[in-house]
Amino acid sequence: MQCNYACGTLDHLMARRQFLGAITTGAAAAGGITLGGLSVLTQPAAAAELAKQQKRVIVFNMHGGLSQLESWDPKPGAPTGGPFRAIPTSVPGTHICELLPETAKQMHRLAIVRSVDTSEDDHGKGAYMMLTGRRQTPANDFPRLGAVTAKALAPEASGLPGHIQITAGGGGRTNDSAYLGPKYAGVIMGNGQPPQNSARPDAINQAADEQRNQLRRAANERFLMRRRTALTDAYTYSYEQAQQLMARRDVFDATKESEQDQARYGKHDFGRHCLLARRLLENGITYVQISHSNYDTHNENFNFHIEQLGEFDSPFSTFVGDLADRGMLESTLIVVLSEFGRTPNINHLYGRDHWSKSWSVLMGGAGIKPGAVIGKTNANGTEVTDAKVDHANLFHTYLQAVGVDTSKSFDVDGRPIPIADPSSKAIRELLA
Amino acid sequence: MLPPRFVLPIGLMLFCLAASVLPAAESLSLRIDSLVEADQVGPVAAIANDAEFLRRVTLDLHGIVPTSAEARAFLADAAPNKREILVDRLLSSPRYAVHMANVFDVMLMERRPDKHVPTPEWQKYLQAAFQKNVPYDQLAREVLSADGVDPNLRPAAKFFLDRDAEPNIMARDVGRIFFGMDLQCAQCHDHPLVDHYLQTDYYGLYAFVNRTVVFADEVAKKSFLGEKSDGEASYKSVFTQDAGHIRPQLPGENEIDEPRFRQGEDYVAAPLPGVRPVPKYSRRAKLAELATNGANRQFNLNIANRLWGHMMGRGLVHPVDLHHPLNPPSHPAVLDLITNEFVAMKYDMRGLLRELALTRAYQRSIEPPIDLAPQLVAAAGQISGLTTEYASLKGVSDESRKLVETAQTDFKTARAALAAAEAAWRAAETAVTTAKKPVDDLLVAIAKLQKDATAKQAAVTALAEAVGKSTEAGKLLPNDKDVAGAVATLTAKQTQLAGEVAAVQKTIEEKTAAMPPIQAKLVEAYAPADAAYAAYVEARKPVDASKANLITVWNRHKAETLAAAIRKKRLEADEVHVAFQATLENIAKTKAEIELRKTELAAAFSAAQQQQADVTNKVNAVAEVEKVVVETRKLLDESKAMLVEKQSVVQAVTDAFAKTEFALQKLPGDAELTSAVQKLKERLEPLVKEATVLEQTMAVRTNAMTDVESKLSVAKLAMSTASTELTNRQQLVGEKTAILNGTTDVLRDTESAVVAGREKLVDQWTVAAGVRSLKQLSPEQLAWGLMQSTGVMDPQRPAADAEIEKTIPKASVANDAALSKAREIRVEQQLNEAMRGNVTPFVNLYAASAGQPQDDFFATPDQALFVANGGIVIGWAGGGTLSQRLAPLTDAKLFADELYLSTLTRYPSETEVNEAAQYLASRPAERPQAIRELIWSLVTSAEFRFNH
Repeated sequence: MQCNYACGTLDHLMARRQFLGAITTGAAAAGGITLGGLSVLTQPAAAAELAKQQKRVIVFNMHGGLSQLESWDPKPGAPTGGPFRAIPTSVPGTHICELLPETAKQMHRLAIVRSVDTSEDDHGKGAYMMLTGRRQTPANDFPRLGAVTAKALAPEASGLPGHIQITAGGGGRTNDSAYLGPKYAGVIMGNGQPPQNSARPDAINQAADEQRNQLRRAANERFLMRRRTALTDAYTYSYEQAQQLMARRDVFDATKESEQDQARYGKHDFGRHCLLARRLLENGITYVQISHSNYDTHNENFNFHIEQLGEFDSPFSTFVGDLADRGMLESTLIVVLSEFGRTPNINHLYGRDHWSKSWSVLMGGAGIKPGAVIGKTNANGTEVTDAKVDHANLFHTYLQAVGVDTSKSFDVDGRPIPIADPSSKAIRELLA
Repeated sequence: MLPPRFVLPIGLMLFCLAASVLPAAESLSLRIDSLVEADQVGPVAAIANDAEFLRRVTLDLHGIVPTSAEARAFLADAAPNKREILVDRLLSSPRYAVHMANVFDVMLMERRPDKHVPTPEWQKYLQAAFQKNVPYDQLAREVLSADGVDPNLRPAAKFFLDRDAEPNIMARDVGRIFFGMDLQCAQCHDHPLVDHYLQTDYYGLYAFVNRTVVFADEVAKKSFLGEKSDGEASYKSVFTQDAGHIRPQLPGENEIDEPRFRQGEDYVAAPLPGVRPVPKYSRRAKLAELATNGANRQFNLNIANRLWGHMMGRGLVHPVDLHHPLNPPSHPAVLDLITNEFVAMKYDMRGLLRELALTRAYQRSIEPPIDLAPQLVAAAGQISGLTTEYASLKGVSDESRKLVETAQTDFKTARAALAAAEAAWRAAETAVTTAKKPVDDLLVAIAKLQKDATAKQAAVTALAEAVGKSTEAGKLLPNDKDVAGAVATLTAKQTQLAGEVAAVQKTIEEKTAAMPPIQAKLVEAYAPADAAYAAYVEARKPVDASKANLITVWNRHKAETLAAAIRKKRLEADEVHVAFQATLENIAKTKAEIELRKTELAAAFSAAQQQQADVTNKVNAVAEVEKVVVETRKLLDESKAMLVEKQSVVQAVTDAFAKTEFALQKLPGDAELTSAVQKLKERLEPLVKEATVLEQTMAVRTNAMTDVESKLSVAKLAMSTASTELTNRQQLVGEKTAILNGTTDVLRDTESAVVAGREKLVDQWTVAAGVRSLKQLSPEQLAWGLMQSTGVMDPQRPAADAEIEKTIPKASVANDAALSKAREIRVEQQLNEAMRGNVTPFVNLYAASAGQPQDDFFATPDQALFVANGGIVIGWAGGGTLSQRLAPLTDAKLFADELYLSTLTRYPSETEVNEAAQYLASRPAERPQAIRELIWSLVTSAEFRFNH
């Protein structure tokens, strides 16, 4: 194999620059040219179409380790099965746990992988594997799914971030983009708060802000007459993106959704976060990750799952239904994952411990076969008996579902790095 | 030959030291320029002006922008060699050491969080190194070999300690940072994307470091590096299943020969509990020695290339950690030259940076040349020669690839033949390990007992002291029972513990006595292992020879591949030029075609216009004829009516005559009737005549009508023909317009191709050092640059000085140049530490993730939001001394001068002076805010963000 990244990089930069140029000067140029009329007319429609086709990913991270037995792979009646029943779903023959009655009605839009074996029972390492598709190695850090998705799919010209993580608290940016660089790191919306510094300070009013930016642009123009490069374009453009983000700050505000919707999703944190996620995705954010905490139920597993899934079921199913109603399901991949599942064995504290040998992941939407159930576990749920898959297979699958060719490499400033583990592959049977 | 820079007026020369103006040999900077320029075709960028040079070199050597005072002074300086003076001044300033320490910190640690060695300590170590201009080989040797024990060198151990001595991290980062080869992807197999990175390259480095461990000293409460004497570097390709062990091997070299120590005789300090293991033979020390002894080419290339990259904005090999034959240097001869010279200069970093700063290559403007023609012509002329050369060199490289494959097969065969001897030796070593286990166990047990004995003995000593003291107290208080009781208790405890110590000592003696027989067993196991090893070494000779051959052949192949790749890279560069020339020609052609199409369109248009006129005429003619037709018809109709009228009168008279004549026949001779007949006859005759006249008139008019009607149809036909022609001609105008529009589109595409092609060319020239590259300020440069520009740092330097004054009063060092210099360094360090907190937010937002390469540029909206809305930059712009200096300046020119010199290190243009003045005038009531926004707008501009 030969390295041809040097010219690849150049091309990449060129194409990007032209693209940026087209975006910033497009309106003015189009107005002046007779034949441009057509493109001006068709552009909004094309943009809408593009936006519709723009692939997106939402990940529900069930922090602590959701029990597969109390969710996607119930074993009622088995010694390991616990007290809950399995209920039929909208997919004939597919049953899930009775703690998810609303989700059961959406199962024809979703798919279950019941044969996940990641063989890693440590929270940190398990989460790392599930979100990077690789085992953690000391020498090399890998970017998380959000960063990879943003790099592969997020439109360059958007003023909005491509990768958002809605967490319980905090702010700033995540440190999870490894060699892809902070550009693709997640913007943190701690408890749904908008990104840091996205509001203009009181000391500077709108007019003064516009004036100082006008002065900045004028200074840039004078300098760029001398030399303009992809770097200077990226730099000057970041300020325009910031302005766009400020102008569209409402995108980050779920209270701008109707009272009715807020009521449907529920006023608790997870409900608000789901509604916010819908709003973000609708506004073209490429990757959104929501944490739902905490499923680490070493004791009182069953009570905790009643409580946690009780909170999860309704907003989640509302979210899935809304995406379908709005025509966004075809373009949005939904993933519900954890760092691992929970032991089939019930311990003396009525708890379940860490278990990674046979557990489940839920997916749906873009590129995923609706209603599919992949893999099986044995009667007690202690072993995978069919179609065993791991974190690397899942990682390939997530990305291929949204149209990313995972056999390709990223070009990281002249260094080619495979997008996903080259020794693994996607779960074919799951891809539509 | 006298280099041009040194050609000074004779008068001036008298003031200069002859030695400095008459170098024995041509300076390195000039030799670099000769080589760089030999590769350049046609015009290159001009030399940057003084202002740009000042900002550039201050950023590169001091990591900060100049103050407005420095800028004014430098720009006003008329000395012809002021750039050289500036470079020397910067290099000898303490700020150089502080900045380069930061550059090397980032290069070596890549912003990893502190673990065992705090950053300030580490930076002070690096600062001292740069201040003393410690040669790079020595610095690298210290970093690679330090174990953290020697307090002076402890910070140097940060490189491995703060990587927790994780062998894969160490192997990867030693490869990347010290040899410029990112071998990470070759850990599990030969590199999938880089042909010339082998798994054995990775494990060759891994073998140097995988025995190194972190030793946590519980007593000293610190961690140190230790090293074990065993630990294999074993590899297995997940692709080919090829597997083996490898001894340490530097890039481009063979596996090293190593001394063998018997197990049990292999440590200076064996790894017992609480003991930092120190082997008799340290592989890591060997790495430090072999990498830095001047002989390893890749080590030397790496640093020369990195220092070049530091100054020039990009390495000759780029990225700097991707040296391999298919990623050739932009200027192979320059890389060779600076590498060789750097080694000859004994790794003098200050010296090399000085030479680089003085090159024309370094001083090129960022503005590409306007006239491209000579370059384009020259490039086109080279293509055929280069193509032939490349094909031939590629053929050579392909040939040697076959030799490599043969050598690989030979090596594998030889290695397979060694298997039995190797297995026998390893089995014998395992027997030694087994025999050694009881010895180790016993040693551990004894060590534990010793520890116990030592602890107890310490207690006994303490108790003895206590007994002594309390006995004295007893003497002073003879009747005090409590004291007497305490003495008794203490004495009893002392006796008991002394007994315990004796018991432990006895156990130790017993255990020690038990040692000889166990040790004898170990010694017994030595002989077979020694013999097996000797046999193995003997049997290994063909393998070693085969490996040596493989390395030789492989290196040759790599060199030949590199030679071909160099031609290919040039060829590609020339092809970019030629493609650009083609685009230019295309644009000329398209422009000519557009002219042609325009002429055609104009002709068609005028033809259509003419036709339009013709059609109008024809339409008018038809109308004219139609008018005549109407008139003619009117006359005809009149005639017809008159004729009919007349004919009816004639008929009536004729009838009356006939009836009257008939009556006369009935009444023959009736006079009345005869007269009536006569009268009627007489009346009829003129009437008939009149009717005939009318008939004739009508015939004439009918003819006329026919005539006009036929004229009308002729005119109509002419009109219709003309209309058809008009439609045709109009259609032609449409066609010609479409063609012209199409060609205009082509022109537009070609024009953007020209823009893109020109950018590609500029990129090529940047690579070719024909035009200066733009590079972003590092997070530190950005923060320091902002603090300097806005003047928030102004009060900080005196504050740092005052702090140092507490311990080193200026007066105390006034008479000693060396001490005075040392004090300056302390002030600079104090300032650096004081500002660290200000720099952190910039590092958090503008730096790549920890442990990742730190030189990639990225711009994100959150950075822009931080600058636009966060308090820091706005606060600095409004609250620094720059805004205070500007406030009283009412003269537009003086105001703008200070503003621009402080922020952008240059005088403003007239436009810029006016722009600032107008803006201030527009906000008369808010002058402080207006000044703040002006400062803000300049420090957020691209001109500030980049080093140009």
